[in-house]
Amino acid sequence: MFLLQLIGEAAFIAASLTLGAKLVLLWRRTREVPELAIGLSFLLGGGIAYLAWFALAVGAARGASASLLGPVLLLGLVCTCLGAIANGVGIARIFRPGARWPLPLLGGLALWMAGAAAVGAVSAPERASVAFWAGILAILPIYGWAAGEALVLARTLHRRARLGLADPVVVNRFAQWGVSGVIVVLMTSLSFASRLLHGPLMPPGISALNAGLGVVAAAAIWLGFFPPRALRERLASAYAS
Amino acid sequence: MADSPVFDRACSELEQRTSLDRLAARGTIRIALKSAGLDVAGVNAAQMGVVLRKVLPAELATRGIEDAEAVCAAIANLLAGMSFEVAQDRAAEAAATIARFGS
Repeated sequence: MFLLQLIGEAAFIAASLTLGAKLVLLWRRTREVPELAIGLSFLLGGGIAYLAWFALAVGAARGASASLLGPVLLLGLVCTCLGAIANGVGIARIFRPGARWPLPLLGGLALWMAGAAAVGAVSAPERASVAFWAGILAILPIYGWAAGEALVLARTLHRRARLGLADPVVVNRFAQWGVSGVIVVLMTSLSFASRLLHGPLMPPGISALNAGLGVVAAAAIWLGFFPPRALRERLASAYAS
Repeated sequence: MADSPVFDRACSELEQRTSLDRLAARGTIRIALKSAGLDVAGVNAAQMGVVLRKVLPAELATRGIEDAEAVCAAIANLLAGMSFEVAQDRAAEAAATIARFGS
């Protein structure tokens, strides 16, 4: 079970860190906000935060002290929240350029997350757990929004691509990005449900399901943003016919 | 948001060249654009040309318009020779940004 969890988490972390680094490097050339925001989102929310969650799970299973696990928990929470806000900024710039409504939405969520992190940092363990989940759950509307925008646009561009009016590789990228966003929402919701029903230690079945979702999310990120030549050719021929 | 001038011109040409009235011409082209993933506010001449050649003939045929392909081709040729100012639509802008992510 540990091996399965390791594979799932490692695949998701590696894909997130690789894509995040790629986009931040792209930003150094273009200086455009979307690549910086989405790059930071993958680096912080997908890469570093999930590294922290993995370290936390290993530490808890081995009976590490609360004084050791506390800072790791806080690091994971802060990276998750910063990653989600960065994701929201990127999504707003990519899908809703010029719109004003995302600003108060993201500002409100950022304040909520900051409050949760501050309460979690200074509270006793039981109250800190409530604050922790209050912060984590605030990422759901952002990733849900991102997944929805990406999947809706994938559908629109799929119709265009059938007529040669859009690039099939980009259609695939939107679709895979949307799938990875849906999986982040599922993984977070599953972890929360497990915490409510089973306490801090995740049962093996849920852990295996989460690991499987991590592998699917990693595959979606990889196929969307680093598509192998065979996939690109298959997409081109599928739309050409 | 206002309709694209390309859409307006295509509609008026279709109305003149067929038995469709204004409402039917606009509605038919709207349906064709929607099935192509395009919208009336942001469609440009190149996109409309593709829709006129590949999508609209079938829509007109179902409405009993004779020689639909020739009518559509004539409108597409007319639009191709004209210049319009149409801003890039939201989907195309987003696609251009995400295309950059793969570079």
